[in-house]
Amino acid sequence: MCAGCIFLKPRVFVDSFVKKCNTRLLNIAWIIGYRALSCEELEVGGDLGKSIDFPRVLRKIIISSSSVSEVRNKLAGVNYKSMFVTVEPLSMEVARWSAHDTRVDTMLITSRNTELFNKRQLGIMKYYSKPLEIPILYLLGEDRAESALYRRIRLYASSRVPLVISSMATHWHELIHPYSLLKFLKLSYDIPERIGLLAVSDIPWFIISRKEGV
Amino acid sequence: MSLEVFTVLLLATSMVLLIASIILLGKTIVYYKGVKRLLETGLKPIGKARKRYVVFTALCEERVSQRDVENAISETMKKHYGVSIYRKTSPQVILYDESTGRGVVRVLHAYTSYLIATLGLTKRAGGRNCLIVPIKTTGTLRKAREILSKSKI
Repeated sequence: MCAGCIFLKPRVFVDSFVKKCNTRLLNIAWIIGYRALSCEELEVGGDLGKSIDFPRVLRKIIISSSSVSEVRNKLAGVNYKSMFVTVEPLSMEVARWSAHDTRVDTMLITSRNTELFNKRQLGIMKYYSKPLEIPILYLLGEDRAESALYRRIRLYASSRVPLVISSMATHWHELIHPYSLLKFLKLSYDIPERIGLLAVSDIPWFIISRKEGV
Repeated sequence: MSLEVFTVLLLATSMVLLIASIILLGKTIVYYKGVKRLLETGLKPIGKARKRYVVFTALCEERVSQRDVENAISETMKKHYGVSIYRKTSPQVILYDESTGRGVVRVLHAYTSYLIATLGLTKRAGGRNCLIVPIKTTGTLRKAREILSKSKI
């Protein structure tokens, strides 16, 4: 197989975290090449999930907590078979616990919980193949937190922990073209294009395709 | 008899001179190489700056001008990659249709990746929300024009 052939294969690009989905955003997402989205808030009437010119849409829930019991209670009330469940751990015990819980699809890294994703956490996430979700919004800032994120992302990418890159868009213009995203990750965060491509296509699509109603 | 001796002497002299000239030639080549090495700076020759043409579509709230798009791209590139990369990249919007939002940016071939990343990161142009979508990179302006006319976005 040739080195560049991975890019020739048609891909299903997925944005696994959009904050607010409306008709305009879904239309633009379809135009720029996304075929599936995971939305926290859906402001569209009707069944868009099956329409032709819109990407497949899945509801997303983000659980931010520092206690395991709270996460457990929230997960008990969530239909995790038809929703994209992401946990933003704010304490070490939540990070460790959610890394091996099968109801949790991804773990969110933000500027608030960067220090929780250490080498030990990496080992657990790698063992259970738990993807690490990175919102691109946090990678575009100019704070000191970005350098910490850079080190963590490099560590996790080099250790072959599955990565998921999302836009965290609220408006349509906050979406990023997948090809631009790959170039940005390569130039600014030294993530190889092959890993970046998996992070915006195959890994999130594998999660979404398991869900009911997609 | 004397003529024979004279001929042999001449032959021997010519042989000696030939050997001496070969030795001197070898020495000269060594000196020439030494002097040449001293004069060289050790740098590789600078290659020809080739150009690439990136076809893009600007999806904006309202119409934006060519100048607005170019300024937006320049500002985003300076913000994310710095002035030095911006100078080397030197992106120029050479074609732009305000009605369709399609255009072509010229860039140096070695920095095409920087431009494509920048196009995706550009969110505002001329005070309006915009999303710039890179469509295709070509090596000639003629092909860029063809893609521009065929593009569906």
